[in-house]
Amino acid sequence: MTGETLVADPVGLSAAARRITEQAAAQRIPCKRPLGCPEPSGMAMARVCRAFDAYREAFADRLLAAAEEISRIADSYTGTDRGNGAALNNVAPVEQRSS
Amino acid sequence: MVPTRSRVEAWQQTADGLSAAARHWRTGAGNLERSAEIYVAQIDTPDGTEWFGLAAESALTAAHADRNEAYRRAEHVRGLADVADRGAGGLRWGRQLVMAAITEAEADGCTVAEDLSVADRHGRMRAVQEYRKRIAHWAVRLQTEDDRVAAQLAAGSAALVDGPHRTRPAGGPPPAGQPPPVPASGTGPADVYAWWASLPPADRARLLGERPRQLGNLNGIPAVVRGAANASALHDDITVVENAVRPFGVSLEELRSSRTRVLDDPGRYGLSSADVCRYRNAVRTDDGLRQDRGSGHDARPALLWAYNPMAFDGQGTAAIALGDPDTAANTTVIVPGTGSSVAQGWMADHDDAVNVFDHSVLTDPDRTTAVIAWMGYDAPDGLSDRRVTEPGLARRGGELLARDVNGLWTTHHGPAAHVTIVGHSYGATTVADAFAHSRMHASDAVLLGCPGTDLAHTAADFNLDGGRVYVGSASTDPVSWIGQTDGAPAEILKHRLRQSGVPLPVDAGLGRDPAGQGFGSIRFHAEVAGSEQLNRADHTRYYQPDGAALKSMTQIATGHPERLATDGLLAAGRRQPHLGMPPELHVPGLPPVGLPHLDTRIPGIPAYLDPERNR
Repeated sequence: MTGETLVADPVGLSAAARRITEQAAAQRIPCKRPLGCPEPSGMAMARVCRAFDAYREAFADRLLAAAEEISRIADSYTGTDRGNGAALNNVAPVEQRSS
Repeated sequence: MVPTRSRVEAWQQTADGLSAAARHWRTGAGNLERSAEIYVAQIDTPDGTEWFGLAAESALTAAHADRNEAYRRAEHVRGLADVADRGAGGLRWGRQLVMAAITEAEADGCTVAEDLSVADRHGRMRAVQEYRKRIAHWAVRLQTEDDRVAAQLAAGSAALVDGPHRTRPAGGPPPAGQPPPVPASGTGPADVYAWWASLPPADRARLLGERPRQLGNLNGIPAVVRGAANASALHDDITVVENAVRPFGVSLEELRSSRTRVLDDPGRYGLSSADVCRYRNAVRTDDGLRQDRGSGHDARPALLWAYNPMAFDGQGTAAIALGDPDTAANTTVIVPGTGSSVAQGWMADHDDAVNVFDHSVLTDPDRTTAVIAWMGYDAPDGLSDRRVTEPGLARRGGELLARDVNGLWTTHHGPAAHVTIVGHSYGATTVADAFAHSRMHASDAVLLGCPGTDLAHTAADFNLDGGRVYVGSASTDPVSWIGQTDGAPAEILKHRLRQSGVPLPVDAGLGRDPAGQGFGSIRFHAEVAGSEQLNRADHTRYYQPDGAALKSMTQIATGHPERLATDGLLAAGRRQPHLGMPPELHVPGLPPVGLPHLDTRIPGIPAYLDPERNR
């Protein structure tokens, strides 16, 4: 079916984009960090914190990019629907045209 | 360097920080997985609606890949949380031991200063010395434990950020500044050690994260740091390939199978042949680490002391250390021979190091032990390899071995170490050359099934400072007989060896047989029980558990060579045939007739008479 039949609900896609954007925002909140420790293990611990936050930040970027893409697709369906409606309106019999 | 008293006291804060960090990381990992699940679910059925078509298919494929990667990172972070938790426990325990030693000294009327020096107003020098030694010992152990935890976390953070699938946003800001340059590979271990000690902790952690391959093989870098750096490099070599093939539906089992043809066309997955070479050698090394480490309560401490999967045209080099050679009282380095390499599976196809380690611990439980399985040179590929009859690889390998072994003395701390180098087969020739030609410094040498000692003509050429050359040569091991075989008797011997299944090249023989009487070595029993004829398999049985050779070897490695005599493990050397006369002639009916003394060896004939054959 995929690739042959096109099925999409623009409202559902927009809602999905919002849910994914929320998850992106959640991943941008840094992990809690313990107080700084001067020993090598403390420095390495801070490094792991930074690395993990960096990954979560990158993952958030990825989620946001996906959400934007879905949003764009939803908008294009809505736009197409509006455009098609307007075009059909133009070709409808004169007596059925809205005044 | 001994930490100060206030630092020791403040280590509690570090341990608590590690425990807290572990909790936060686990929470973060869970949140990451949750977000990834919601992401996939929303793409699959956007807000519960249906979505089909090419765009949907493509978005779902990407979402699955993102989720898998997020799960992998989350699992990695949980592993680091485990490291932090265990590290916190170790640091608390280490700190407690230092504080207990301080308390004991102070309770005895001594004062312990900020630099952990000890004084006694009654002038009891011996007590002061004893307390100072004990406090410093535990303080250094605490520092070492902290370094170990730091190294593991630093390597883990590197894998998290700089792993094969970098998640750093493209075009994002590069890390500030460059890490300090790593000394060139030929730098002396003392200079490297001083350089590493001079670095602030932040630079050390950064180098571990960004330059693991350079640090991991640099002599003078502490063993635990090398272990963490090499583990990081090995992890990368495996995940690059696994992540590349995963989207193609290739399972890890299929990928790791020895019969797999998945990687015959690496370009299909966007990989190079070098990626595949690194992957294969990484997996073989990882198998060796797992096997040597074991599991459960009897798990052994193992670290990857050296690792270069691309060395020698992809044959690879690696060294696994059981125990910590920097703190061990007894360290043994075992060197394999012909037919051994990382690519040929040596890291995981034997129990030699495990047997030496376990027996050494049993033999001397009061002193710490380390055993390094060293595959650091290009050994001949097999008996059909033309180079097996030439000493070139042994000499070059001996140079590399000497560099690594001499570096061990620099990083070792604590009571004086006893270092024994054990070479087997062509590896024994390599060991001999390392001593005689490359100034290797070690306490004792053990040669097993040696086909000749090349540049070392006698034990004196090993230049052992008070140590000895020990030899294990089974009378039924054909390879142990081929040292310096020339002349007619030698041809007869070679003929016999070929008859026994050893495809000896015409010019086999790599120098003197160290099991010969005149070599100056100490020979120990190494016979294979029940074996009476030359047998090619007897060349591979020196490390067998319960064998006389392993028992002898561990007595030597643990610094108890006198037990070779008390335990009846000494063997007589091989000797040349002698021409001699009996002291008297007995003629029936006449008194004995005295004869002139005559007992001389026959020049040019190898020492082929082996008293061990009659055992």
